Amino acid sequence: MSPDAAPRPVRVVLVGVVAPTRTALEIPVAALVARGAEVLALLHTLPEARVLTGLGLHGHRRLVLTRSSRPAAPTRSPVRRLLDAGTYRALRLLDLRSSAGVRAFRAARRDPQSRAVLRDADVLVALDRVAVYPVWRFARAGRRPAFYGIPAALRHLDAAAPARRHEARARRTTGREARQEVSG
Amino acid sequence: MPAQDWLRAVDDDRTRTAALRQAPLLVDRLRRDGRQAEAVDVVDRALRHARGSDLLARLGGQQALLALDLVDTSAGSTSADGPNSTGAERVDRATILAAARTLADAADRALAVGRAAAAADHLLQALHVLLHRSLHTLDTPSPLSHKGSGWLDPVIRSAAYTRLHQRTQAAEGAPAPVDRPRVLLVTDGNAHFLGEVERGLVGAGARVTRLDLTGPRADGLVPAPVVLARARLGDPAAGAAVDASAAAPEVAALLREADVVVVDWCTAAAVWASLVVPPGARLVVRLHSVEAFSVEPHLVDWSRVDDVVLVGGQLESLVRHVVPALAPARTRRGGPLVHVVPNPVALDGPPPDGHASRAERPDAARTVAVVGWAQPVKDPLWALEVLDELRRHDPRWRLLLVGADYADPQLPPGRRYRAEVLRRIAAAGDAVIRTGWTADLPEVLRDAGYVLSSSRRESHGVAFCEAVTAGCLPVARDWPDVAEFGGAGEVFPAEWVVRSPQEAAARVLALAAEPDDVRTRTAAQAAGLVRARYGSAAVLPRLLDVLVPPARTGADGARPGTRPHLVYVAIGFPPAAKSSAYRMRATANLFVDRGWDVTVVTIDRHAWDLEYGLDLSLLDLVDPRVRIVELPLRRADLDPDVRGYSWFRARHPARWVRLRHRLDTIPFPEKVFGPWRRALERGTEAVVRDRPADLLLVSPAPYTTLAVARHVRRRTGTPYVVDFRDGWSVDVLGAGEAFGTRTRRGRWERRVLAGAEAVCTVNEPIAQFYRDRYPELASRVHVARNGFDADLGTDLAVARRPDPAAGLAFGYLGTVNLTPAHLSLVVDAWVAARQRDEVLARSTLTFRGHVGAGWAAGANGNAAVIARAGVHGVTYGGPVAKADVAATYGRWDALLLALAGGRFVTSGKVYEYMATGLPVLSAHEMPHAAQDVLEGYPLWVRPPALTAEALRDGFVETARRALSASEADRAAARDHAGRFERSLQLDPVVAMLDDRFGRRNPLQHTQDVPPPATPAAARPTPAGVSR
Repeated sequence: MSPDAAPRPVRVVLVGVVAPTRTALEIPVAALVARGAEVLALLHTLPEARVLTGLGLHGHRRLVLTRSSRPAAPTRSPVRRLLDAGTYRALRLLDLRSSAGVRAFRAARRDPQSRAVLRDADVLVALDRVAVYPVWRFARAGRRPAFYGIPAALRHLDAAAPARRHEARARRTTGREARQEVSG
Repeated sequence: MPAQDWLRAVDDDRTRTAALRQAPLLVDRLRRDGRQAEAVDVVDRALRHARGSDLLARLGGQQALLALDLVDTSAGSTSADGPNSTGAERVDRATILAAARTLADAADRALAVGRAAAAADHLLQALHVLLHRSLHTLDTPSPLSHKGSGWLDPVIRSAAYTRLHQRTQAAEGAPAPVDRPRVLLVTDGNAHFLGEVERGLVGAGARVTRLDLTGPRADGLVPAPVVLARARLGDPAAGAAVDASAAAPEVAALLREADVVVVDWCTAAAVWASLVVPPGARLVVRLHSVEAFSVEPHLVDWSRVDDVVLVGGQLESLVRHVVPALAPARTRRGGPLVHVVPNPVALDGPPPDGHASRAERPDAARTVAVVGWAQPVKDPLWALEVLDELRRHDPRWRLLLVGADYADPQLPPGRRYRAEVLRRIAAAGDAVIRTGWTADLPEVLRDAGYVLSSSRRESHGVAFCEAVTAGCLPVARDWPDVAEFGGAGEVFPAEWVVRSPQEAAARVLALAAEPDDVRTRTAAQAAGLVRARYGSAAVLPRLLDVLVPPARTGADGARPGTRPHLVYVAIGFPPAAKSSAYRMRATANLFVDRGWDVTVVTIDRHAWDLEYGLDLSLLDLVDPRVRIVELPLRRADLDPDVRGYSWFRARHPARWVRLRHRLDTIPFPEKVFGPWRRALERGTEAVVRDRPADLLLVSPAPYTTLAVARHVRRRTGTPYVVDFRDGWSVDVLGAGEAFGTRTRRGRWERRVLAGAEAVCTVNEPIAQFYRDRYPELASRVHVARNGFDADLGTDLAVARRPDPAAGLAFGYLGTVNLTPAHLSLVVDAWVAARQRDEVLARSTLTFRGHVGAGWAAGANGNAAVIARAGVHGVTYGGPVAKADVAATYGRWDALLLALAGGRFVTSGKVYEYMATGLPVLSAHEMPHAAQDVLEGYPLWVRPPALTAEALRDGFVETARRALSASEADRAAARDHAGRFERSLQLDPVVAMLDDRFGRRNPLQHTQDVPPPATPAAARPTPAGVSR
């Protein structure tokens, strides 16, 4: 990274299994964004588009708790089709015997894009009680801060802000002065 | 030996050994003389030839110190980090840590073989390396500013450091209190903050002597830090030198005769005092901010110090984090008492009436002042960045730098910083004005409308506070060196605090955009707040309580020991942002007004972050004489840190909660709070044993505090009163009993109430419920209603007039604790009313207050109802600080009083609503306890039933009343509210308790209890703040 490159914003991933309301997200997400965070949402039940539009989210993805019986890209290979069907049935059986939290965790783990979002997260936030379990599992795996509810995440960002601010400021100062040296 | 001679000597085989032995001393001398370049030559050459780990460690440490001294190119001297070095941040911190570790290892080795002097030298040098000024005062973040940095670990984990702070045998008990104590004020030259203290002490009857250890009387008397460090590690020669210094005729008599020795600033003077003050005298040390980043606090023998005074909560956190001997875990088991008392500031002249009265000059509206700017720690570069931001909006903005000009710093990094500041000032041209030092600050500040605190760290900024009281509008940077420890938010209201130059400029511009009268009012409120918090009148009594507790007399002439003492168990006391906080605040203040000393027992304020949060503006409204003891308790069920959850809690959250609630009720039959019983009992008992109480007042909920009342009564004989507020066995929402008399809860309630001297409730229906349930208690049940707070300094009367063309603004202020069905009904009625009435069609309905708590803040079912109605002009605006309540009402034309429950629920908001003089629409069940209060309010709209149609018509009627109400109608409405002012409601009960339990008329209490507790012979467990 060049000395004056801005530090990567803190990436906060909100995980929800119960559909949130706009009020539940509007003020807290704005507060997260105001603190310079990049906010992504991973929601089981995607609320109506108008709920998420204009919130300032940097992205959202649906968390499919049960794998669809119709694969997005059907294959012609009979072996592959057989394997897909078997996997689906096994997962379905597992899911039937599991709680929503466990299913949400499995769904996130088997979806590469969700996995990538969670892997790159700096802070994980469970929006509801059911989402605590997947967040707990991913937080333990990645050793990153994880909270139940956005207010606690905001407090965490506030507490961590001075360190990040100073790092950024030190880099900026260095860069500016280095340029002054070069330009004479 | 000159450096050149030394260099020749070290090259000569015959003299090399002797030269190497002299090298560290020579380097120290060269550094002291500011000849760092020569010192670098000596160190480099010495390192080339040196053998032996001790010498190598010592030279390595000196090399690190020189690198930190020289890390700059602007002075033309050697750079430690190449030509583009910009500050201490470019010195490799790992190298510094390694040098310190090597020195600490050398200290341990020396100590292991009994060489205490060498161990002390190494340890001291390691501390000097880690606490070098370049690392902690220039424009880089101090490594100590991060809690997790472990910057001092290499030293504080060493055996030598541990030996330094081994607990010594404390003197037996505290010195006996005396009348007119002799107080010795010791300084190391800086008496800047002592003037007010000295005046206060003299006023309190103390005989005060000052001892300036740099003055002509005692200059050179205190041994050098290295000697003090050696003495601390037990070196006999150093010990003898220290003893000799104390026996010197200049100070021996002063030390011998003093009852209390107060050392201002934790410098070498404090280290010396901790070694020489005789056991019969109390030793008090006051730390400001700079010492937290210096060596001396690590050398003081804290086991000899009786009390430590820190000048800000954020500094307390920092110091207790940085200095292990003052960490709570250590002091809790003995050691000094730690107090937080700000620097008293002489602000007690006539209060300014905003800018108008001080006749500010024309350019003041676009001028920001920084007072006392010319030091790196004040970070004037940051202020200049704020100016740049402001000038981007309007080039007419100016920066007024008040105070003495920059002195030439000793070290190159400081010189570089100064040069940069002066360059930026020159580049800014007329936009920056330097006034120089002034004795008449208010006069100079007539040129400024705003004052900025740009410092890296502060206590509370005495000069800043002086400027605020002079009428400037405050903008305070969240001081970065202490931001992780609470920062400026710990001492000022949150709205004053900014985190970046952009935020600072935004606040200034927002204030500038306000109308003149608003700015004037804001400035006056800020000045009032500063006076209340930091004025001598508020602070000095607290400080004197610490310095000379037995000799001080109260404002009413009574000695503290003769004033009645109330211990008030009030979980929810300010700064908790809870509705109960207002009643608790008023109760405590009323007792203080009647001459009581009040100690409030509550829980750690940060525990409220997990619930409804904090409202620090409430603390300003608490009488400064009220002492608050915070017990380290918090709700485990609201812990938001998912990583700390067990598998069971994460996997089965609902089952975990159910199980937890069952377990909670084992100590006391109340879920969530039951486990607090033992800690509350012990904490409150310790407070009472520290100073016997004349009365214990408990204010449930939580009802676990009932167990506390009984426990303290049984152990100490203190009579108690229960301020029940809503009651326990009454189901205020369901209008029946919550549990029977034979249940476990029922038995507890009966037992506790039977021993209570009085029981208070908030309305007559609840009082009657208790009279019926416990007929034998009937005469002891009293009603102490809630009310609105008229002593907040803000008038709730709304001056706004409705504008039918723009539509009306309906408002709801308070916790939205209705059921979602109830709220839906209200919202549906609102929607229907908008369709029926054309003015309402243009109107808005705003909810302010808490919606949901903890993780569900702003995210529960009620939030969903409000969100769905967004298209119909219904909005949610978040919680409101108490200080902003009047402004919030001021933006509305009519109020919605939606309440849960029925005949047992009064609510607190109804009183406040009436005090505004606005039309109030009731949206609650009938009959309802609020009716008794509203009866006779001329602008009350009372729908006949709680149905959508009735409410719809109610909204229409309320709109009509809002538009038609005359000034006389509103005045009549406010007159009706006048009798519900809170102190009028509470005062009769407080007066009754004062009569019965105050010292003027002591009551014979129940005979079957032990006599009141007496103070423990040994030094009591602290009840002030923290050990």
